[in-house]
Amino acid sequence: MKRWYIDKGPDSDVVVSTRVRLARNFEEYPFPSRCSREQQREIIRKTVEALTGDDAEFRRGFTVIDFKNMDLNERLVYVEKRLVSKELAASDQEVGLILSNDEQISIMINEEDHLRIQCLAAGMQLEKASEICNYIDNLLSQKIDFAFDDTFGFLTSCPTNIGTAIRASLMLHLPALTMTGHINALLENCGKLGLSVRGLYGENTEARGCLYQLSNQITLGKSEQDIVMSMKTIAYQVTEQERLLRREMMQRNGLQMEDKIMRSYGILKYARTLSSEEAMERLSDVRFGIFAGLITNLDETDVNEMMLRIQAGSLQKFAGRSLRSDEMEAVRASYIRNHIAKKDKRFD
Amino acid sequence: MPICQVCKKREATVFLTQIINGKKTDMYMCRQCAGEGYKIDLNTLISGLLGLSWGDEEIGTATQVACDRCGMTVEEFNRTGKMGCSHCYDVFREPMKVLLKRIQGNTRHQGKVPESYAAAHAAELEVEKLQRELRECIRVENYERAAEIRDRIRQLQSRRGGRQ
Repeated sequence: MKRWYIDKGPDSDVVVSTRVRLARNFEEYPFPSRCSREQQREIIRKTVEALTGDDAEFRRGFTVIDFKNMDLNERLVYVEKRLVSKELAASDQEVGLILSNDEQISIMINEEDHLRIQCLAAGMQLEKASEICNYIDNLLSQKIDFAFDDTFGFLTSCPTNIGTAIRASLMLHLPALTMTGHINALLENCGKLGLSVRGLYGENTEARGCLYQLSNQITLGKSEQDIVMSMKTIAYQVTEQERLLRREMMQRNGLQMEDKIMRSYGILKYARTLSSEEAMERLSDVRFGIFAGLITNLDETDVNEMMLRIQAGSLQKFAGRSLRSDEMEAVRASYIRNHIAKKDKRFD
Repeated sequence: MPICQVCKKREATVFLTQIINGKKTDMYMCRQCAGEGYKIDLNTLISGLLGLSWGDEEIGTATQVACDRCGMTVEEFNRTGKMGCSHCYDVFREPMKVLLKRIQGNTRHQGKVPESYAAAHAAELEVEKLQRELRECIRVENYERAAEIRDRIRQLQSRRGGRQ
């Protein structure tokens, strides 16, 4: 499987990516915030041993990343790729990261819980991602006694994760629902159904690039399958509404929509400086334009990749140095120009 | 951690709230002192944890304020919203049930059970069943069968011990 941001997944006109995450804790140690550094190191060592085991071929598929000694900028790249949380990146504790070479599976060690087993996939692939998490969990369980209680299920540091300790989330691109303002009613309804929706990249509920993250709130009292299935059902309804609205907008205001999309495309193609906000907004328009059949030399994976690479950490890695904010805007614009130019050439 | 207000020596792990005629008094105590003078119910609701009001009734309630394994206190939980270790869930089981009912809408796990846990649990149940059978065999003086059962019980128990 390719990395989620350069792969084409099912329903990718609306569902950008899927993520499933399981929280697990060792029975024998206190939760990470109360562990000594020595205990934290033991947890990392035991997890690596339990995962890699004796199967040499399986072992080759994973890399243990020296996250602790990595500088902050580089850590940020992992956050932007969604491989680790902001909390892990900011931690000064003995944190660890095991990553599959295809960047599909990541295991965060000593974040809020001892282990966070996570699987990422392009588009809508909830079942597949949860199967993979389950497989890794089974494998680790053979060597590690996880904290488990008959009544409460898997025990976690925070009671909001207890039980199945599963968090399934979908990154959704909802430009039509956003532009028409229907998004607010949608957010409210999802809340009533036990799902949370929040903007991605932006702070709080404000979404940047019309990207939203839909995830389950309830982790206790429902099976993993029920949680995943009900989320899938709701996500399909949202997807259908978004598609319907997009078609309607193109039919009713075709010229204006086309104008908006192509202007954004033009700006991305020629601008010399781009703020993060503007870039995300223009890329969102282009993503819409791709699925409306207006832009053909780019596809959704180009947009996914650009949205990722123009974030602060990735840009500085690309530039090979720390950047001031005005420099950042110039590098961002030049990165996007180059990416589009490369694709244009292919079609000349 | 506060010092016991009764013996003024040991660490206080119990927090006693008494409301008598509308007057509230709070007291930190160690388990020993608390056990001597007061009836302690560890499962009494932790008011802070749950944000419940006690009203003006005359109630004397005591709650354990710290986990005896990791030392997490109720006050810490109220501040961070995080438990200290898996044993905290045992210590604060009853108030946690109320809290979970509120935040999760449920208090009973329905999903995956770790294989090792399920296996250990199955072995436990089988041992119980065999022990009943063993007693019956001894009663009817079927010693040959009793010996078989005894061996089977030992086998199951050693396997369980082997994992830990």
